[in-house]
Amino acid sequence: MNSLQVQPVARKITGIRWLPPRAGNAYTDTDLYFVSGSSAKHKELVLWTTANPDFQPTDDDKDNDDAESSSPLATLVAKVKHDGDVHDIAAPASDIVATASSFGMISIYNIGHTDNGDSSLSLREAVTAHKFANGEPAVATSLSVQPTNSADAEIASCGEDGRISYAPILRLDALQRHEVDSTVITGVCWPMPTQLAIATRAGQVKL
Amino acid sequence: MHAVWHLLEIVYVTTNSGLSASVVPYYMEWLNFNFPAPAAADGERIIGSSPDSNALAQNPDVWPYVQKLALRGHVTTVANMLERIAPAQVLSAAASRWARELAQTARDMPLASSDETSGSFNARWRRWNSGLQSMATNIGSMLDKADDDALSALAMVVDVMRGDADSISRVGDTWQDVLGAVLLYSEPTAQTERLPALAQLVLEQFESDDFTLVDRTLAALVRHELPEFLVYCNQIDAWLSAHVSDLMQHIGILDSCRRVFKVEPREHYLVFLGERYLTHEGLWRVAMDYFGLCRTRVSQNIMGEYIVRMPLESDRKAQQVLRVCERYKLTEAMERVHRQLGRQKWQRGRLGAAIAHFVRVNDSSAVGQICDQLWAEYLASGQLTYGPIIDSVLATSAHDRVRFLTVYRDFHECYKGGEFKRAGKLLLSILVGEIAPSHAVPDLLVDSIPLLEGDALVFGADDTLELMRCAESVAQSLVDSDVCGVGRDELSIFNVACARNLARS
Repeated sequence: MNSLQVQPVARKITGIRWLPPRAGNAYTDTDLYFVSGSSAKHKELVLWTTANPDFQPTDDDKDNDDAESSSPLATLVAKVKHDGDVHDIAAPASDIVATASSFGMISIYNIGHTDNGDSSLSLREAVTAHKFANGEPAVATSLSVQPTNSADAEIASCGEDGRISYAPILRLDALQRHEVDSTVITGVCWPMPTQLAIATRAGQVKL
Repeated sequence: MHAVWHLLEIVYVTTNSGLSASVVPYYMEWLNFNFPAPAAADGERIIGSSPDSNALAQNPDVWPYVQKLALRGHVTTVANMLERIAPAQVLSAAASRWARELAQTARDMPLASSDETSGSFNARWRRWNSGLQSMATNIGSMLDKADDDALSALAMVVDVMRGDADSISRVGDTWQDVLGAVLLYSEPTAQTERLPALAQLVLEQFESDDFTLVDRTLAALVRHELPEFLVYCNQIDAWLSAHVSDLMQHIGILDSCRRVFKVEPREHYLVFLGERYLTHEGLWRVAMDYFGLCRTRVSQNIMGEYIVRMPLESDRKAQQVLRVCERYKLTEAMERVHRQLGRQKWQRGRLGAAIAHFVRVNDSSAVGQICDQLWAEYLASGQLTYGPIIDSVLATSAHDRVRFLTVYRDFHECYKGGEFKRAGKLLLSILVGEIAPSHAVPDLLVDSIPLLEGDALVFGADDTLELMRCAESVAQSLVDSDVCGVGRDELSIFNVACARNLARS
């Protein structure tokens, strides 16, 4: 990393993820997209775009230093209010974003791009994945998307209720929940499409 | 804020020996960085609109611009401008000549170096200054004979550069300008201690009613009026006063403020800033760090009161709160937070986590109640499901009830696995060690019946006698009260099983 560049956004950012390139494995996107989630006073999900560095002019080609130094690092393209703090974000596809919230919900957002270059971020579906035995919502601490290229890939979440939940991204109503530990589950991931790994507050990793 | 901080650093922090102990170069650097003048754009506009030296000499803005350059010590630029103006044919021969002379003199202005002694520098300075004095005298005598606007303007530049106070005051717009020129051209080796006296003389020439808050702050600083300076800093921004008072504490100049303030100023401003940050939802952690910097009992009390009232919306935040308590040794607050978390988790059915929190604060009563709840759930359902719950707290707890549930779980697993001898040893260890609650003993005795009646000899004679001793105390409690989970029939069966086992052993 040659230098550190900073663009203040006046938000408490609690999650950030690149979106897969729209061109897929071709990697020919001139603009790259990423989403950020924030908490505290402004609970939002924001879609940003930044120029693909592979398509940037080299130092020799730059004629106007003033123009280059004044351009922002990333441009806000769309934003949407989020129900609760954003605790984790997953980007299964270039037009879908999933979030885990402090209210124990998994939410799926659609990203739309119009022909005139506008983009939108809208909530498609949300489900309560985590709650305590007394009915109080439990924070969903982490999210992970099943590593398959299938359109019916599953998304898994873990929470402070000691449970993992998983469902197909396109059918959240088919959510399944399992209690796996008596402490807080702090992280979840899919080592394989048929296996989930979790990390617990007590310092254990379970498969 | 930067101007205030930078000047504070110059006046109180930058200390060197020799010539570089002079505050003048630092002050001029501060002045030109924080209050840049004259604007470079003005110079470019003047040059750009004057295609030749005649146009330049006739430009009405050029001489005020050159005077401002001289005031700020930009002597090289002064020389360049004069050399551009000098060839102008619209100038008189005298003006042209003195413009060239002044340009050369400006370039010859002595600059201090770390290799030079102050005596040597002062000698060079006096020679340079006396050259300007004689230049001023010569130009003055020419002006007596004939009016020459260019020569008058040039004379003003010379007067500024020779340190004439009246000329400096006429050219300078602000007291910072005037003070800078006075330092640069009258006392180039002045040290920090001279600032208050010089600043007072300069400030008297200006209407203090017209001063901005920043002007008042800077004026208080150069006059070394530190209590006033701190108060003004707080009016600019709470961050500034907090950090300035902290810096002043570190460099040992806060004592003069302590004689004036009723409270400890550093603590006061740090707490004030911390309380401001607490009004922002996401900045509580920063606020705690500011409180923590005070390191006084008062600030610790404030931290303790705030932190126990912090909403614990998530596990992540709860961990942060506990880390703050640990870092700043808020023992009492940490206990209250652990109890709060324990109750919260208990209500939510997270019994293992609840036990862990109560164990941290040695709340045996709460731990006992939760363990009793787990035992009651086991008795009601017949399924021993509390194993994972206990596993998560095993490492941190030496509580009898937790150990009882753990050993009992191990007993169950051995029994299910057919390891009857080991199961028997575990069951006996619970009873002999008296780690089980009294209401659970009858159930444990009933659990021993299959082991007593089994084909293999699990309990020897001594072990059997020990079991019978426990049964005696249970029988006594049946006599004393009607409350017991196990009835007389079960005890009779147990006694028979013991008798048979004794006979076998």
